[in-house]
Amino acid sequence: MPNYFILHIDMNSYFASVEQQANPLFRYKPVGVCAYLSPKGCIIASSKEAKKIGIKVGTLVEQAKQIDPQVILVENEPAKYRATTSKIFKIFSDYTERIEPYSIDEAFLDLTGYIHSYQQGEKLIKKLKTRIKNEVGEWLTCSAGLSWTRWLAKFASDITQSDSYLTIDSLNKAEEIYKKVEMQEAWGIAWRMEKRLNNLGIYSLMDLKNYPVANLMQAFGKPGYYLWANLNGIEIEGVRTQAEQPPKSIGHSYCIPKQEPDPQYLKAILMKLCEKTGRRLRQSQLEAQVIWAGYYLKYGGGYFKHKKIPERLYTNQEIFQAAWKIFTTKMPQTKVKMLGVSVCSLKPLSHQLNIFNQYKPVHLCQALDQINSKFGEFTVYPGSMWGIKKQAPDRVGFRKTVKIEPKVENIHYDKTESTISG
Amino acid sequence: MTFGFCLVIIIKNMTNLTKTKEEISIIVIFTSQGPKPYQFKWAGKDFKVEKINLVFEKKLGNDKLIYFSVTAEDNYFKLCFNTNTLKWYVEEIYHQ
Repeated sequence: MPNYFILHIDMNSYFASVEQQANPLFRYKPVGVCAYLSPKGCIIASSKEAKKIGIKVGTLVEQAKQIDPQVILVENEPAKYRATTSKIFKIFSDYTERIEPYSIDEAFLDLTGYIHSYQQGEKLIKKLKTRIKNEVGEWLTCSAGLSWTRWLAKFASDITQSDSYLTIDSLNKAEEIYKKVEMQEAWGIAWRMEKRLNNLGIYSLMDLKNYPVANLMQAFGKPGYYLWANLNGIEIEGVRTQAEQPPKSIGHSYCIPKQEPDPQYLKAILMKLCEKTGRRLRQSQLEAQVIWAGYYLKYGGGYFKHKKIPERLYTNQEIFQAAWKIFTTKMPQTKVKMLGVSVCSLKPLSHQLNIFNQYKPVHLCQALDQINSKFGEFTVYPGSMWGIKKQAPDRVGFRKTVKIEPKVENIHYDKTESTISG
Repeated sequence: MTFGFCLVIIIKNMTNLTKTKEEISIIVIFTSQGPKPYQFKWAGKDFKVEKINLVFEKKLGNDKLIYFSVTAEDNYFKLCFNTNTLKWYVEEIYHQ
């Protein structure tokens, strides 16, 4: 096997565990972390105890209360989870500078060069688990997977039980596992993909591994090769640090509480989403060429469209105007459930001036950013947002992660003893 | 009057997580790892911090807020330290 060592760490029931860590009176009880506490609010993370009684991610608040009236439901607190993730990632950065934060509760660590055997890797996993418990919180547990490719490492941590680890150190061991697990347990295979694979006569991961790759590529194109390569232990992407993968898009969406097709209300919410998007775009020192905006209707259906803009988007006003233009091409006639806006095709800031001298209030926008940075978000905000300032609050997405600063000089590795030292 | 009203709400919801924002008097130990709340006075009673369960930070404009989730005498409190104003608050209380 190639001499690569990729470790995947996945925190167990993360948001709920953080809540149980913060408040010990929640421990050993069913806890649900909700997007909103309203009856139609959705549970975004549930504790191990809640999962046991059937309160899972996606359960509505009203359903959870029906299952167990004593269930503890708390509204999510993004700052709490981000700060905890930062502490965990800081521990990781003591062992390698090549970290890929995959989501708020998952990361890949490229340990190639820092460890030389799977035994060392297992020692390191135990050490990381201990450090997380000692330095961040004793209630926080994680699953870990160690292998020579990124996919196999995640596959290993996905199938292992919570608060444990699994190493896949050879293709033979991988094959033994493929024989035992269902196809949908593999990363990248959901029920739809499974159905398509079934149509080709593939009913297990072993069937997929041994299937002629040319036939898979004929059926699925490139993803067919990726599926086959992943199962055969061939690296596709490797671990990519934050610097190596700049954001592809920046955007926000919001499930609105007042589900009515009131244009003024929708305009105000859209303005806030554009403000948040614009802030993040400028903080990343980027500008965008494409906008994507639209809505989902309460009783099904919706309208989303993306559009390439001749002049790059930078200010909130530009983003809002482009989004509103898409919106007004097909105004909703019935109740709206969700609004969304996103900017993509992101480019580094060019400071390109318009030859036709069209006024672009860049400096005004930057001045407003400075005020909001100093005195808090939405200290100054557009008049059209009046009355909805508290709506579309800060929310934490699983795919959003935190910035990490690797500490290369302090990596805990002792070459003479060939062991990881803390 | 306002204090009394707040207290009524807090006592009424004592079995749940109660959100509030009350300034408190507190004794803090400044260690090499940062400030650690030791004892505070809330609702006329002294609470000695038994354990700091979680510490996290939040930025509010230029203000940096440090939150301490602590247990004191079988209660859970979320304490907030505003590093700009140097004031301490109780923001959450939970009692079984």
